[in-house]
Amino acid sequence: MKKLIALALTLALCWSLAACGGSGSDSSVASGGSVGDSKKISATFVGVMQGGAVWGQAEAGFYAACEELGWDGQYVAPATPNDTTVMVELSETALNNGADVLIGTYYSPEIFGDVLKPAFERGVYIASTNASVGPEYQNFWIGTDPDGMGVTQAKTLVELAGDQEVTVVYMQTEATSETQNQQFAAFTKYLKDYANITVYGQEFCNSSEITAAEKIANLIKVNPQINACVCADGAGCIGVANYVDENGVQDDFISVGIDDAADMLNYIMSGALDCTIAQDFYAMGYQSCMMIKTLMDGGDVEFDNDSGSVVIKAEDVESYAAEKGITLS
Amino acid sequence: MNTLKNKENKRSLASIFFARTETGVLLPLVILLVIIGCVNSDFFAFTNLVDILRSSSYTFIIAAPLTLLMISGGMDLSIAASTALGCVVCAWGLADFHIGIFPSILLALAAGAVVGALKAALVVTFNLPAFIITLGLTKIVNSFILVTTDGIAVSNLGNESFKALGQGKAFGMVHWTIILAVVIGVSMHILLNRTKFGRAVAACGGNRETAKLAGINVVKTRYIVEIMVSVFAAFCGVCMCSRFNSGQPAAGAGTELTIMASVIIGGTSMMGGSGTILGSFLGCVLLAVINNGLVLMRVSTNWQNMIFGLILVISLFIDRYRRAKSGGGL
Amino acid sequence: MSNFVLQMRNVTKRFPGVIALKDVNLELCRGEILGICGENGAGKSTLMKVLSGSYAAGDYEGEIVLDGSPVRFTGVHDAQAHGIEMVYQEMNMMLDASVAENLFVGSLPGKNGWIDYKKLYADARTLLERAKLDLDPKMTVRPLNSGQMQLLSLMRAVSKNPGILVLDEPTTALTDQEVDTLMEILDSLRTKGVSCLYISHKLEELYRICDRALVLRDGQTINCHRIAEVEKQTLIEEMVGRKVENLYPKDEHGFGEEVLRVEHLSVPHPNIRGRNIVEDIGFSLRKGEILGIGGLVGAGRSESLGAIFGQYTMGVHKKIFIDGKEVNIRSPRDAIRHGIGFITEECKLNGIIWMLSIRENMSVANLPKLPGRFFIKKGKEKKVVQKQMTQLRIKAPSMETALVQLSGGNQQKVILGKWLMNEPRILLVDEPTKGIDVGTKADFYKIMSDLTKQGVSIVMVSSDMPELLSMSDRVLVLAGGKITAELHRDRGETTETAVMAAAIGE
Repeated sequence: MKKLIALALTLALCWSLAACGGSGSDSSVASGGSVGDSKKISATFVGVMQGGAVWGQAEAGFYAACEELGWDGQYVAPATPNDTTVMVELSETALNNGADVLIGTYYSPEIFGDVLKPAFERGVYIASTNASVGPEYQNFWIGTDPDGMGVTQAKTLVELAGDQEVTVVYMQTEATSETQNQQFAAFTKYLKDYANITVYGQEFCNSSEITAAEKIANLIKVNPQINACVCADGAGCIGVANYVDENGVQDDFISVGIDDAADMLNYIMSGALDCTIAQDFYAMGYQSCMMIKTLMDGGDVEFDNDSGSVVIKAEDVESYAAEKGITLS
Repeated sequence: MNTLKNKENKRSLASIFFARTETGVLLPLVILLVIIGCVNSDFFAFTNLVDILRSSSYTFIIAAPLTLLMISGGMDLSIAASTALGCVVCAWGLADFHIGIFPSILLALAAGAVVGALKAALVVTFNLPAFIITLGLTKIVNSFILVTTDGIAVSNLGNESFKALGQGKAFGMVHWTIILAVVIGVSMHILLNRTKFGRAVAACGGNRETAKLAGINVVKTRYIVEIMVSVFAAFCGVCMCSRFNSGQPAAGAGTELTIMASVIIGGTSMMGGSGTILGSFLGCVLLAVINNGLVLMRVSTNWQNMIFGLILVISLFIDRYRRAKSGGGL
Repeated sequence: MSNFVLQMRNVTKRFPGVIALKDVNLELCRGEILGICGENGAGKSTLMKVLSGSYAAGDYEGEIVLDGSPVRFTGVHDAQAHGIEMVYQEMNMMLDASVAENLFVGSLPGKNGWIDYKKLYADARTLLERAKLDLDPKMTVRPLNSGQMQLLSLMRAVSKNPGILVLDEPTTALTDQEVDTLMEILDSLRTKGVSCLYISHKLEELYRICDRALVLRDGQTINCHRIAEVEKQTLIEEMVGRKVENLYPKDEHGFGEEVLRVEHLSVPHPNIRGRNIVEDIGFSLRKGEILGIGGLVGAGRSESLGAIFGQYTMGVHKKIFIDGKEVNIRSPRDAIRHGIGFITEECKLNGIIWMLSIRENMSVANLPKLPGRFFIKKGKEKKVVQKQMTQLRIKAPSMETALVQLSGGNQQKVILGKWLMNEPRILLVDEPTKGIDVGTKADFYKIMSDLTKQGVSIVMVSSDMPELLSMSDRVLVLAGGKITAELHRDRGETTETAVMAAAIGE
């Protein structure tokens, strides 16, 4: 009996390994227009998390571009979202394995500088998404930078608030999520000029829907004046929407979500979310490769590139979903 | 003469109090309730109490069977992964396979059972260390979910009545998950204390060789407990699926340690052999009260984790003191 | 007065609600071996803990005087610094460290944090030779048997050149040859002026090695005799505080039909791969009979019982017949179903569940027989357990008391009770009275006799020669994997010399 189970487990392991290897070779065949001639360009994308509604799109855009360009592309990401240490290590590994192109969410020269600088000087093409380290470390960056995102969130809130008195909670992943902290700083700074809007502060949901829902419910018990929440975390946004939905406060509570997964769009349709801010992650993945190609071919690109973010409100949901091929309920 | 008698009575009352397994968790809980109540009396508002219970119900649905597992000498880090699996599989059943509510729930529980059986095979049959095995299973299951969902929530369940489980309230007062948690807790308590199976579980954890020599089918008992934990974890995922009306691939992420902590705070021995369901329940409530109360006391978010950690440490100290008082060994 | 190396004066130790020691006085001369005897719970261990510094000064009343000057130990280290070394009954060995490291743990030779391995192994070799242990100092301790480990822990203490050596039941795990070695070592230490406290149940040993014997009872010093001037019977009476009429109440009655027959039993060696510890043996057991199994430690006696009971199955070959019909016993469950009970030797390891109560421990082997299919009917359970507790005279506050809190003898009784609840027809018993006090021993023998009268058959493995000889109706001796002798009591063959001769294979 023991032996049988052992055999079954071993077979399962072999099968899964074979399956992984298989899918890898599939993609290389598909991209292999130029197999055999010169060495293929090796490109690595260091993402912030594995899978997920938004980073999954960046991954898809990246692979699409690699296939088009005949590059050997690989998307890697830490098992724990936003794990900076692992992101540094993944970048180092890629460079040590001869990556010609490196793309990642690099936001701080202190953290990533030591790894990026020597590689950049040696001629590796480096691009960053959604943030930048600086021109001495990289060729360019593309995306919505944290400051810009914070401002967009603030502007959206101002528009939704109108003249009413608003106290807003900023729901983010963890206290240590640096990009989100930067967003929050820009968000607060922008709102200083608006007397009717009070920023209550940051709250952390650890990417757990339940924690977010309970946090917001508890906060409102003590501070009944809280009537708005801006989310920088996707799971947190679902939790907040769930709170609004369950308590039937669609009309009295302003909620600004993030990203454009189907469940968020559904919540916008039902009124639990007032709107969501979607960034074009596909473009970040796809465009960054294309721009590096331009550089390789001797062309020029700007250092700052805004991939743009869209504020999706109830009236835009259907057209947006149709455009992106997202099915709604 | 009379006073002497009184004194003896008092001592015995104190020793009875300290002899209870649940004291280690009850004492900090009561102290915390008093402090929070003094700072903010809204804490005791009915709706807030219901919120606390609701928050504990999700953890307790897993903590109750986990208590049995830990009493039998096991541990499980893969509970959070099973929760996510249950959540996603249930959503598949509704959104992709359109098989209706109950078959979807059963499918999710079956998925949990598969994880549990695999875990049991590795831990019990091959006698591999549970810590690493369940950590490995967590990774495998999480990765399976990522591969199959691309990390995108499974939405459009298209079934309004399914929401009742996670969002609805019984008699318009308390959430169904609370009722379910109570039912599960009471059944687990009876299972542990009143049945032959429960006695076998305790014997397995207390001394495996003795249990075997006493004619208990140790392997079967441990298999059942291991599978039970994963099934209930998957059920917790079903509740989350219903609450958020979608299959979240990260449902329950990071809760495995807090759930295990609440079981241990509740007086269950990490070595196995002893523990109570009531203790685990109080452990879950304690953690929920901390989360809820600190916000109500307007403790700054940055400080909350420190207080959380301190209370964990203190409650284990009380537990140690209690054990020394009552003269029980480990 | 300073011819006393050690004096303990009016030592009293209180625990909440209990006085463990009351005005105990003890005097030890230079180069003397003082035996300390008493029932379990007489206060021997507590006294030793006071002396070893486990209870720091201030935890007890009274004083300890070394070489005429009072000392106050702050802890075990302090006592060791004063030259007091303990050899405990439980051997604290690091199983995966080498023999040499175990011998010199805490005092490894070398300087500046580096270990001088050459010196370590050389020193270890000298010690091993003294103990007549033919071991490589570099091998790990794990494969050693408990006798060898016990000698190692003795040598560990000896290596520190103590002024006073304290031994707590040192011979429980030893074979007779090893006991001889132990005695030689103690004797040579005595001539070198080392003093020794020797705690033992075995009066024979006290007579063999000690100069004087101190009797403790209920935490009090009863008497101190020059061993040459006192009768065994007197010591026993002082220890139990009552006359022990007959320790071995064996009454004669006839035997019935054969109930158990074992054929072709082979059991693999627990430590050596590919070798059998017992090779193709067989025996039979009649109704109401006590079959004793003698032999040296390591002859495979316990392993044979385990194999019959289904505890070990890997590599075991056996044919078992109950009432003449062949049965298949693949697990303890099967054995219990066929009415067999098994009281294991290492009760602390395999017999009891520390944290559970008496009630739960007792009913754990009887779950299928308790009334009710799935649920346990607590009322009925309590009644059955209470019956056993009264019958076996188990001393405990209540049946809810956890086993940790009971004395060794009472724990052993709980195990017995657990199997008796099942009303077994055949009882396998492994070293039933190892390490328990005289009073409880007598209870045990009485119970066993009563059981056989009721028709229960018993297979008893015992290293306690008087017990084996006087309780068994028939004695099998195992040596070298075979049965080397079958001795019948009714034919007057069961003598100490006959058993010993067969055991050492002569």
